[in-house]
Amino acid sequence: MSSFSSPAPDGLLDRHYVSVDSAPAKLTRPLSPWSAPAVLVIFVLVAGLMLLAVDAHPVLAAAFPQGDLVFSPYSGSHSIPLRIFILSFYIAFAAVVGTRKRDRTRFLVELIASYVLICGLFDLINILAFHAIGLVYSLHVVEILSGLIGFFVFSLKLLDHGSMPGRVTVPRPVHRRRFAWTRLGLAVAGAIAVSVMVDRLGLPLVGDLRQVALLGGTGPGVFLFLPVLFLILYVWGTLTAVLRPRRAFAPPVSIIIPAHNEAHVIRRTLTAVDAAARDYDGRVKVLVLNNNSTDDTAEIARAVLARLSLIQGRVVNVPTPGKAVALNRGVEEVDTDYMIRIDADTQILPHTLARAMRHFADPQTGIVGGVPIPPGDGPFDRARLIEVLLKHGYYQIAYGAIDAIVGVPGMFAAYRTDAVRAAGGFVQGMNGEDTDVSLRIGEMGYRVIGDPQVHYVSEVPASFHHLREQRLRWFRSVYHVSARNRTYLDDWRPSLRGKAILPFMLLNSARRAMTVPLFLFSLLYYVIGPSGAAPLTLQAVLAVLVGAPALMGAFAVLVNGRPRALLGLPEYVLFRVLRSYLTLESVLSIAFAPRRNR
Amino acid sequence: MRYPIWAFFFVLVMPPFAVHALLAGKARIAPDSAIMASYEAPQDVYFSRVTTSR
Repeated sequence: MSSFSSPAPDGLLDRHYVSVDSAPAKLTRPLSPWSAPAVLVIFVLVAGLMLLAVDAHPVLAAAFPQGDLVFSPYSGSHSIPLRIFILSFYIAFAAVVGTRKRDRTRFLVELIASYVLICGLFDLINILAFHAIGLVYSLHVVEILSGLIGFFVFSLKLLDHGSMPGRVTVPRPVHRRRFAWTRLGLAVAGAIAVSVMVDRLGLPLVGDLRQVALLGGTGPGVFLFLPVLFLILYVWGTLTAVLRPRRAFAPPVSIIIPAHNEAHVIRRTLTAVDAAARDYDGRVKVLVLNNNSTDDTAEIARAVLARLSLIQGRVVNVPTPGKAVALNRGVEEVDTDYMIRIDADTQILPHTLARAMRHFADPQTGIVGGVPIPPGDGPFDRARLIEVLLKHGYYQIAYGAIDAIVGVPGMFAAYRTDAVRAAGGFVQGMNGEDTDVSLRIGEMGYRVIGDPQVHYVSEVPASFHHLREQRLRWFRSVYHVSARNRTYLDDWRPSLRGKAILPFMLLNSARRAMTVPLFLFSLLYYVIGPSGAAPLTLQAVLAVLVGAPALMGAFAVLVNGRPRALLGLPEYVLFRVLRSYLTLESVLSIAFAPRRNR
Repeated sequence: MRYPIWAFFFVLVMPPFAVHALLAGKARIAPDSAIMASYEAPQDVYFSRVTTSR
């Protein structure tokens, strides 16, 4: 990954990866390593008190016999009290986030008020439905939906109260993408049908899986829905890709490479591009965007480019620090109809160019991405491999089936040059410039493609500090991109990305930030919850933390034809816990500021 | 007037969840009149004003 820092002074820990993009000014605040632990400690105390109060206080115990703050009818007698969990997390988070007491208080008041309001509305609907048609949910369902409300409200309020990029005008659509909602609706119906059918079969395997907490206590019907939905979409996306007519297409293409102090790797990167150009019929130009380097990046790049025979290249000096600054200079310089951006430490493979560029034979294709394969020799590489196979080799294909891919990672992304320019180029001063430009190009109606056959090698952080720096940036980006492009979320056009996918990503981000607290909550409930009920709770939480991710990871590994990657599954499960903790840190690093135009 | 973002939950999450819960047996439609007539919930149905011993 390209970086933009000053070189570390001799004798100090090398933090070459720290850059102006690590913590965008005004949008982030300095984050103490003790902030997240402080949230967790406060959370445990608050949750413990609330659980004890609802369990022991005679009035509360009588009003809420199920142990949670539910007001509507329900069937069943016990489940994990997610409303107490959510409220406890809100209080703990608001106690630590931001820098001013007044901001924290206002944030907490709005969080709780919104949550109570939406849960109240949900309960009211249930009460009315009960009286009208006798509808009664299982308590498990009430709790799961209450959890989803809690995740979603948290992210929305963070968007409102956090320091976010200002809303900007969105580019006008140039193509129409049809039937995306219809396809999603059909897939949802199919997923419901399959998961219900499996539930009714009463397979012994399902019972066995429940016993070992792979499906938890919530039942396969609920648990299977999302995996089946993504499986249907994945199959759909794969079939569409296979059946789509292909013809050879290898137009001239420019590759832009932002580079700051990349002397150690730029030779390897350029040599890999030259090797890929050998398998590509079109002309390949390269622009190395030397961004304020203090090492020999520019000299080495010039020397290598002079020696390589298959690519035409030059070095452009971009003295202003910032990856997006360098990228935008590259967009200005490009004189071909298609361009590719890669990081200075991305090694493309011989087939990468040819496989990616063929998609542009379709005049509606706007962006093509692939699967970043880790080098394989670092401490996080095995876990990262499963992560990328699941995200880019599986989910991305599924989203592609409904024209709903939001982000194509900047490690390697091929663009129609005009589309990048029409989208406004790469945004500076926030995280997620790659997701931002692909979202906007996709919403212009261009096809965004994630091709699992397009591979390239991309660096994985080799230390915890580097991983933390990277993930804090990545996990903030969903908020930055949503705030800047809020029009897609709240105008009245039926944008699938804006009305379904981005909200789902926001909900999922909050879910990830609350995963470690949820695990602590289940342990707490195990200790002080109602007797006889706790094992079910622990089982369900373990299913969320361990079972479901392991199953999905294993499945993605197999469909991508890399069975040896299964050896990394235990590391992957632990990696996900670490990732969840870093998501909590990431949302804590968001600065709070007075309200602006949103 | 802007589209309310929180409508995501009521428009896109709750309806399919309700259908799914009904079909999977995680929700059911009980005869309301019988419940109200007896002033007792069915065997495993709680209501906000119904208290049980724990």
